[in-house]
Order: sequence, then structure tokens, then C-alpha cells
Amino acid sequence: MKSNTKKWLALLLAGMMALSLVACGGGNDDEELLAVGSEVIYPEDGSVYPVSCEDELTVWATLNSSLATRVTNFGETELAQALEDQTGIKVTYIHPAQGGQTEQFNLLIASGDLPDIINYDWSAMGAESSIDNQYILKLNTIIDKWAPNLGKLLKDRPDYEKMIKTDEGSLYVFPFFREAPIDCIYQGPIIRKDLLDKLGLESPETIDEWETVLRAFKADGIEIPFSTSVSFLHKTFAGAFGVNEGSYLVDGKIVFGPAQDEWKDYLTKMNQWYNEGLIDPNIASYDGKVNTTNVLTGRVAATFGSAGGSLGGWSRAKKDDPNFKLAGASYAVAKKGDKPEFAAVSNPYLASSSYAISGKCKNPELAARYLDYGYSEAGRNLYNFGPEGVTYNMDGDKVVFTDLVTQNPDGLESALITYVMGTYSGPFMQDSRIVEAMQSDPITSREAVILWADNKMTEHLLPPTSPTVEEKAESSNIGSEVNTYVGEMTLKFITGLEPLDKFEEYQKNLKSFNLDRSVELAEIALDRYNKR
Amino acid sequence: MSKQELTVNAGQTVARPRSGFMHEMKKNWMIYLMFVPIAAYYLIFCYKPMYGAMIAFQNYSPAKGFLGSEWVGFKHFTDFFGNYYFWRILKNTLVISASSIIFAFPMPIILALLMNEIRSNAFKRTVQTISYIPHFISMVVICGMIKTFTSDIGIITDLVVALGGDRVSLLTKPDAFVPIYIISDIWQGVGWGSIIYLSALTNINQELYEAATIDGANRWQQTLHVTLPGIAPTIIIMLILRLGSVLSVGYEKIILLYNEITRETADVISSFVYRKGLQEMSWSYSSAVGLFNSVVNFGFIIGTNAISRRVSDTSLW
Amino acid sequence: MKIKQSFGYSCFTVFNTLFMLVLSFLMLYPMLYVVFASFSDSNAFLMHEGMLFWPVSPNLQSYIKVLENPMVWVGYKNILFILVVGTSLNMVMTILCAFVLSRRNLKGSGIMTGFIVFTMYFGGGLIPGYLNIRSLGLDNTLWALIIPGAMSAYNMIIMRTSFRGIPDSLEESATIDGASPLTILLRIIIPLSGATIAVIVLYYAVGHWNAWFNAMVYLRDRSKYPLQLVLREILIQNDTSAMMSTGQEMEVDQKSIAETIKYAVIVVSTIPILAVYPFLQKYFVKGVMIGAIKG
Repeated sequence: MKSNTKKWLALLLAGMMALSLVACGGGNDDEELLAVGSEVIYPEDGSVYPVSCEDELTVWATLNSSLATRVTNFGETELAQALEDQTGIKVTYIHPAQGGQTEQFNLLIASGDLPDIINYDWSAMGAESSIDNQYILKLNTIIDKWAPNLGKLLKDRPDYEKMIKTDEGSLYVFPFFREAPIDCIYQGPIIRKDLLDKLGLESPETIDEWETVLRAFKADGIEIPFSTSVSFLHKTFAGAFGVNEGSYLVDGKIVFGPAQDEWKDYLTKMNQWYNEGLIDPNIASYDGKVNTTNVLTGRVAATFGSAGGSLGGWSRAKKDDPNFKLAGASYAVAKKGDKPEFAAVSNPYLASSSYAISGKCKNPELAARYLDYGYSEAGRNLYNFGPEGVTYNMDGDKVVFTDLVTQNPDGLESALITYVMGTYSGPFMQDSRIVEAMQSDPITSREAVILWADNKMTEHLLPPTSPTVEEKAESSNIGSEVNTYVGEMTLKFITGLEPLDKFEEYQKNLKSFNLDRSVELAEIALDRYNKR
Repeated sequence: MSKQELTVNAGQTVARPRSGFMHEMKKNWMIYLMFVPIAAYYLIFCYKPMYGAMIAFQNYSPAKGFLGSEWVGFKHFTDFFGNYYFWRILKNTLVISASSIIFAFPMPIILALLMNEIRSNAFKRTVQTISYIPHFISMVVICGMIKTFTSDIGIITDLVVALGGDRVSLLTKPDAFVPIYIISDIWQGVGWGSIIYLSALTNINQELYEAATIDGANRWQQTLHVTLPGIAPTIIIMLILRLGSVLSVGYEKIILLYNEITRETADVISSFVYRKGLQEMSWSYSSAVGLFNSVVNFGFIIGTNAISRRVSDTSLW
Repeated sequence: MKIKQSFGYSCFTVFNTLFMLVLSFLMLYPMLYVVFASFSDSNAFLMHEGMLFWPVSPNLQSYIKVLENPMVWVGYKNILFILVVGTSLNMVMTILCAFVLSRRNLKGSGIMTGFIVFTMYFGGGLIPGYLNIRSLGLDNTLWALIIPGAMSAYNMIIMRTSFRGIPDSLEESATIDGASPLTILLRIIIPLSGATIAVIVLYYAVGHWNAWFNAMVYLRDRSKYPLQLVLREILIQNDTSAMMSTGQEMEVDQKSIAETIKYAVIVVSTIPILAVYPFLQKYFVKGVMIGAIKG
């Protein structure tokens, strides 16, 4: 019966493949690289905007999830109106459903039915091959000709340019950048400041101080002195032992932290803490919502979280309680006065929020003008702060938000949601001032970010390399086994389900999964990146 | 409905002459005609796109398309079978599936039989309506509740402690995962699952009960000799269909409940593929695993159907 | 009906009733929890541990927030259309197919069943399905959510099982009286299968109500979203523990929406479909068959 089924299936496949010839025909017409649409006419006074042109653009972009509860389409927002007024370009927006971006994107590609501008993580898709397949346009000449503002930005910031170039030197996106290194920091350890004060303790810095503080919390009756997810536990404490989770750079070489000998020292300490009850006994089944409740009810005294969502949100929820004050705490270090080696830091370039001009774009000039606006002075202000006079006014160099924003009971971000993209991301550079404004509520979170930002992570951060399709396939195969194994064993070592003398065996097993090969593959991609 | 038209002469049967294809067509043309839209639907919407299954043998990428993608033969299958965790996820999938068939499958039947014994109609309807509500609550919420109840301070853990167990979150114990999974499945699905059996119960000829009562059968004997045989075809069909999805344990609930420590009993094929997909969207790999699942499931349904046909006369085809 | 009321049976009745009461509580609790949570104050709810037996600091904030969302109303409009049109189409197809395949001695019925069952296991996947729908001009229309799922083989098999349970004698006499197959289907089979049809209607209706995946991939126009997709978008907002996140680490510090809103969303999306069942229950009455046979 089985072999029969197989035969049938094979036959069917053959037949259907013939059919697919019909179905998939007409996908990739050879078009001129740069299609020319209607003429773009510029103002007579020599400025660029507003342009006038008969063509309209279609933009396929993810709609911010908070915004999605207010409007059905980005085109309805005040920001979109202002953009149209200021650039003179008419745009229709198409949004994939939240959570369905990847599927819808792949269907777009498979059907060949591309809009003019597409917001997607093109580096994950493979930028060079996307250009070869004419899904997107190579932008080098286009930026020279029609996107002077982005061109200038990239010239001023070669470090940024390197991140958005392919290994072959092609430019392919209008990127989202964060302006300053501190803008790339938004999470870190959080501690109950009022309890520290009550117990007469300083905020801990070294791993020994952390131990003292957590023990003091425990002695004071705190049920779970420190609780967070496993990954954040590593981020907080492993740095004190000179390792970090995952892959990172040491002196320009790629290192996989959980395979190092130091990882054992770190696990030994965590296992000791686990047995002492200093860290969450339920760490394996850690749940963010339960943790929130635990922090708010005082079962947990220290944790890891983000400046706005966690620290800010929790402080707001307990604003009426004088005996509840949260503050940022330092990542653990080995010796007093050391800077933390590792921290949660993201890249200043956010690939998933970048925009490319599609190969089917009717009018690349118009599309470039539309996207370049975000990197001009006026466009940058509009994207970051909203329409001047409505949401903010300039006072010299200072941005002063109007009552519309500051008096909103739901907070600044909520007030700005239909006016700006600065609170999340888009085709522009995020201004440090909007980040600071978001973190100023409540004031402690800015202090926390400044504390967290004091680290050496930039030396260790992997740059956005572009592995080839083959490299990616091979390392993902290795990665799926390695990550599963490391995740399980690490937790078992911490909770004592596996004794630590098995660590050498664990290292040997990692080798047998071909870990070295995957590090080697990453090195190859890194070499290419460094040669850009 | 005009019942008069349907008067029956029980016992009278019509001899059905058998002969060639044309005769069959002539006799049953209307019935075959009824099948035309069904066949058209399946051809257009199910069979026509089936060429897509070939990506299991390719390194497919939407960018290259079905014809442009590189052929790799059985590479994805051997990658899957050769994975360090293959036997573990296969074992876990089968354990969860088998436990579900043994423990969860009979529950809706038992519930339907018990509901059948409720005398008060209003009470019966209320219980029915209430029992199917959990089916409608999203998995995220249900799993959130499971986590609350089984946390170290949860109500179920309290119960375990009272029975002499340790006070730890039950979801950090590998041994507890399958029972939690199955019991919560029953909790969420038993009422919904019983609906089909309730409807089957209504089709049982009431005269049979009357006859049984006259023969002096008590309620229990009636259940055994009238009710159960009456819904047996439904039970068997549901069982065959259930066995035909023996490798399909959905990933949603698993990934909401498992963690690194319970993975040794909780990780199943679908959650494994899901995790792999997070690292790299691999159309071909997941398609290969899907094809493997389908072949095994299809084998199971054919096998159980063959057994059923021999033993009980109920069959899918 | 006369029932022999033994002592044992009385005991059973008492225990059965008690059991049902306990069961009802266990089954009702999750919904109660959701309802209580939805009426709670979001901050107070965050600080609440364990079970919930009444809203904490009751208020209507969450419902106001949910109903202010324009997409919720869009979603309702679309799902009603899909529900009515889709379920009708499903029932026509399913009943036709189940009727055909329930004919005894019909030549080729085994092959026809195999032809259908095969599709329960083997399919082309997402992209060929989409290309197919696109080539038929159905993409970005509500029909894309209705036609490709015009029939479920699973439900058809259940329906056919029920059709086969109808005594042959009824049909045969009708055949002798000269009734065509269509008449038999309309006059005998359908009237006698009320309970099963009610169940299958429920299955399809609930299926349409809960479906979101096809809408997520086939629709580009947000004004065509069905309710569940709208609600799912609210539910998964920065819920990194939920499955849908693309696996990339969250790179921006998004604030999570109030938990209580999620519960209000669940109430808003669940109550209407829960209300369908009591209407279908009237078909679950015993004795339809016997009435018909006795004439």
C-alpha cells in the first residue's frame, strides 16, 4: 500500500510540475533596470520639495502595532498627511498583518507582484541576490543622483555606510539609524532602590557585591531576590567571568561563549546562588507576566528589564507607593572599577526597519525623493517630532513639546503615535532627543540608561555581516542542535540536574556538533565585512 | 416534512441488477452529477497546487521559484533523520499522541453518555453549553492559566504538596509535562468533543430502549447493549481519524508550556521545526518534515481503516 | 419512557448531578476569569496573584479602549459575511458529497473517498496555494477566505457516517415510489439528520470564526480583515512569549498594552459565537428518527 502511495505521489508530482510551468510563467519579465515614469518637476526656486509628479507610489510596510489599534492605514495619520504636503508625493500604503510579515513578503516575491517601495529585512533575504533577481534596485547611482541627503549622511558617517553596504559594495536600502551609541541601549538590570536604602547598601557592581546584596535581600525576607529569564541572567552576571551568551567578538575574533572554560566558572556561581535561593527557583518556567506581578508585589527585588516598558511601566503602576522605588543597576563586573565587558546593546542600524526600492518601481526618481526626505533637516524633524507648531516648537536647539503631547494622560508615546515615527522606526535617523524624551518619563529610566550605557560592549558586538545562502544553511543546521543543547545543559548545570564535573563532556559534545565549523563560517562572513 | 410520503414497508428490498459502466451511469447519473462540483473543487484547490510538495526535495527560495531552485534530493530528509534530537522528538511525539488517544479520546464519549443520563432538560442544556466554552478561549490564555495553577504557589501545586510532593513549579518537572498536557487538553476539549457523540445519541432508535426495558434490562445494561452499539460507528470513525493524525501534535501549546528542562519530554516534531524556523526560514526543510509526517499519518489511517473494516464493518472507503 | 428506578440508579443520578455541577464550575472558570480580568483595573490586575473570583477594582476602561478601535467594527462586518456565506457553501458541498459517498453499492465510491482523503494529508503548501488563488483573481478578496475551504473532508466523513446510519428501508421504499436521488436527499436524508447537520454547521461556523491564517496571508487590504485577525493583532502585540514573533530579538523598547485589554478582546470575540450553540441545541432532541419511521 505504501509503495503504491509513493508511486501515486511521484506521478502526481510529475504532472503538477508540468502544470507549474503554466502557473509560474510570466513572473520575471526582463525590464529596463531603471524604468522611467512621468517627469518629476521641482520647484522653480531651486529647492527640492515639494515636487510635483503625475505618478503615485505604493509602499509596502509594516504598520506599528500600537498605531494599528488607532487607524486602519498609515495614510490616515497626520504624519502621512504632513509627508504628502511637504514632499508633494502621493503614496498608497499597504500593510501586512502583524505577525504575518514574513509570509506576506514571501508571497509578494513568489508572485512577482511588487509595489514601488518595500520595507523588509533585505540583508536577511540576501541583498546581492535580491538585486540580481531584480527584486530591488541597486541604489549607488540613485543615491548619487536623487538622494543627496542620505548620500551626505553616509559620507559623514562611514561606520554607518559600512553597515548598509553589501560585501560587494552595493547600497540597497534607505536605512533606519539610531543617532548616538546611547540610543542603542534600552535594557539592563533593575533593582529595588528603596530596599537598598533601607538595608544601607550601595547599588551592587562587582559579582561579590551582587552576592552580598542578594543575600541581604534574602535575609530581609524577600522570597526571590533576583529573577529573570535565563538569557537575561547570563547578560547580567556572566560578564563578570569574562564570557557572554552566544557569539561575540574578542580582539576581532569570534568566540562562542558557552563553549569557553570561563562558562563553567559562571555556571558554578549560579548553581551556588540557585542552591542558596538567591535566584528564582522557577527560572526554567520563567514567565514575564508572573515576574511583573512578583516585582510589583515585592516577591522579587531585582530583575532585568527595559527602561520604558519595565522600569517606567512598573514605576507608573506603583507611583502612589512611597516604599517602592526602582532604579537601574550595573551589570556585574569582576573587580571594583571595571567597566562591564558585555551588555544588552543593539546595532545602530535596524535592518528590519529599512526600505528598498523595488525592481518593479515605475518611477525610481520619485521613490528616491520620497525616501530621501527623512534624511533632510526638515524631514528628520517631521519623522522624529511631528509637524512643527502642532506637536513641538524649537527653542534654540531644544525641542519643546506642546501641551498636546505633554498633557496627554497616556504619556508621550501615546500622544505622538499618529504624528511621528521617531518613537519606533522608519526611513530616517532617530534623533537622540526623542529617545531622551521617551525615557524622561519617569526620570529614573534615563538615569538607568546612562548607567547601563557605561560598558565595553561595542568591542564585542558582532556587526551585521551578510553570510551567503550556503553559509546560512550550514550554520543554521549546526545552530539548531547547538542552541538546543546549550540551552538545556546550561539550565541543568544551574539547577543542579547535571553535576558540573560533566562540563568537560559537555564541551566535547559541542565539538561533535561541529561548533567549530559554524564559528569558522561566521569568521568568513566577518572577514568579508571588514574588507568592505 | 410530510411523513406520510415516507411510509415504509420494512423488509422489502429491491434487487439491484449489476452490469456495465453505461448501465451504472444511466442508473446513477444524478448521483455522479452531484459529485462533479466536489471533484472540480478538489482538483482546482487541492490537487492543482500540489506540485508545491516538490520543494521538499529542493533548496527552495521564493526568490528563485519552483523551477529555479536547486534540487537536493533527500538531503532535508537525511538532515532531519540524522539530527541529534531526531529520536527524542519522535519518541515524545508518539508518547504524547498515544497518551492523548488512550486518555483524552474516550473522555468526550463518557461525558456524552453521562449527560445522556441527566433527566432535567434545562440542566442538561446548561451543562452542555458550559462544557464547551473552554474550547473558545485562546491557547495563550489557557496556557497562562495552566502556568498559574502549576506554579510553585499555584492551586494544583498546593494539591501536590498536600499529597506529599515538593513545592516546585510542576512545569519544571520533565515527568509532569505529559500529564499536564493531556489533562489540560481534556479540560479544554472534552465538552466540545462530546457534541458529536450527543448528536449521534439522538439518532438511536428509541424503540430499542423500550424493547430493552420490556426485556428487563436496567439502565446500565441499556447503555451497554443499546446506547454504545448505537454510537459505535461514530466512535470508530472518530478513532480512525484520530489515529490518522498520530504524528500531528500541534506546536502552539507545546511552545507555550515547555522550557529547556522539560524539553526532554516535551519537544515534539512540530515545536522542533518551529524553533528551527526561527533561526532561518527554511521552506524546504519544514516541507520535508511535513511530508514525512503526512506519509506516516496516511499510513496509519490506511492501516487502522483496514483493521476496522475487518473487525467492525465500519470503513472510510 | 418507563425506567426501572433501582436504588443503584438513584445513587448514580445523585452522583452524576454532583459531578456535572463540579464539571460545570471547572469548565466555566476560565471564562469567568477572562470576564473578571476584562473588567479589572489594569494596574490592580497586574498586582493580583493567583485565582480571580471577582474583578479587581472594576471598571470599563478596557472595553472602551477595545471598542474605540475602528478595526474591531471592520472585523465584525467582515466575519459576519464570511460566516453566513462560507457556512452555507460548506453545508451545500458537504451534504452533497456525503450523500454521494453514503450510497451503498455505488461504483467508484471507494476511489472518490480516497481522492478526497488524500488531500487531508498532502498539499502544496502556502505559496502554490496563493499563486493558485491569485491566478483565479481571488486574492485580496473575502472569497479567498471562503472558496479554498469550501469543504472539509473531516466533516464530510462525519456527515457520511450519520447518513449511513439512516435505515435503508426508508430510501428504498421511496425509490420504489419513483423518488429521484435529489428528492431522497431533500425529503428523507436531510430531515432525519438534524442533529448531525447542526453539529457540522457549528463546526464550520466556529472554524470560520476562529480562522485568521488565510486572512493574514491572502489579504492586503486592512479594511477586509475578519475579526479574529484584528484581535490577534492586538493579542500578539509585543507578546514575545507568544509564538508569532519572527524570532528576531525585540530591538526596540515597546510598551506592552494593558493585560486587561487582551481579556476584553477575548470577551468581545468569543461571546457572539458562544451564543450560537444554544440555538442549535434544539436539534439535539431524541426521537426524530422514530417519529419519521412511525409516520
